[in-house]
Amino acid sequence: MMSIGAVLKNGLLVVSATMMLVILYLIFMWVPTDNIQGTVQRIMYFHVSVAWVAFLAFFIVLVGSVGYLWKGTSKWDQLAYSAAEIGVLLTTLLLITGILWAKPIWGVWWTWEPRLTTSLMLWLIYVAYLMLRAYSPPGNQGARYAAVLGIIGFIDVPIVYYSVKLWRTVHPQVIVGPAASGSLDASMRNLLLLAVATFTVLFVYLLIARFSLRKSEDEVELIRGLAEHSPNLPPSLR
Amino acid sequence: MNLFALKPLIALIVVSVIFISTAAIPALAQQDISIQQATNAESGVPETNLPFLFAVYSITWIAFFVYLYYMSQRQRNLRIEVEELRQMLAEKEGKSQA
Repeated sequence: MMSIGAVLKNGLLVVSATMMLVILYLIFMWVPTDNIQGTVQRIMYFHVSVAWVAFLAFFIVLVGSVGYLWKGTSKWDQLAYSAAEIGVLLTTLLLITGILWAKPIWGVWWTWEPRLTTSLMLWLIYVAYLMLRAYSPPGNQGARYAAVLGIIGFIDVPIVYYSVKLWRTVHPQVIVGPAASGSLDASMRNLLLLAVATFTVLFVYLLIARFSLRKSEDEVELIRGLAEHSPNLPPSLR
Repeated sequence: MNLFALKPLIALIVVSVIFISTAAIPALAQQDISIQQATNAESGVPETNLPFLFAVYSITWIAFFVYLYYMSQRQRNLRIEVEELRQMLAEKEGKSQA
């Protein structure tokens, strides 16, 4: 008999998988092709969605970090760590999909313009967050340092988002969110919103799965620490 | 993550591969004609960018599956560790009772 949490988790996976199939169908079969960029413009549906969900992930890192520094309970730290790991995965995908979109449209794989540069900085900040967690000594100190980095690092998220407005850039204007100004066909815009919703559901599933895994990792770490005093401890647990 | 959780993913991979190979590629081939027409008429951009589109969608999917696989492996290793701890405690209890 599965618990309610497991049913919810598996349900989210099924919903996100179904939505993913629907958007794949709509991206390749339904939405019109862009007159200027051609078929390659279809990269937008994954690229923008991944960017939006990455920002959401780093916002959850901010919430978890503030919660940990305020309350001091490990569940906030576990939430922040889980969101940071998924956020780094999503930002990596953001950079890769951006590079693969830039080459056919701009003629170069990479250019040091504001949006791309601030996005790379965002990736580096949260890679540093994960490295800090990996190399800090066991205990609360590493978690506290990481929480501070998680809060300061979030400053780069609005900079990335508003970079196309703050500086002259070759990157297209913002098309999702409060600063949206780019013009987009209604069917393309609706599909993009559906793609963002799909990736959000997938992100929630990944976050729940990673959070429960992180919780188990911390519990095993605690038990291992207690059991280290036992002379009968197997070598794999030392 | 248990095996039950991976079953929908495996089904998703199979359906996606079938979908892309049977529906999307012919659809893209048809669109090539309309794009070519639009290209000639308006922008002059050659439509030779399908590998980039294919790469973006493939890499995104592969990355998500690799991450899910990593989590399932980590969960499996944790279960083994917990089992070892449980056995160790049971042995200790057995010795103390004897």
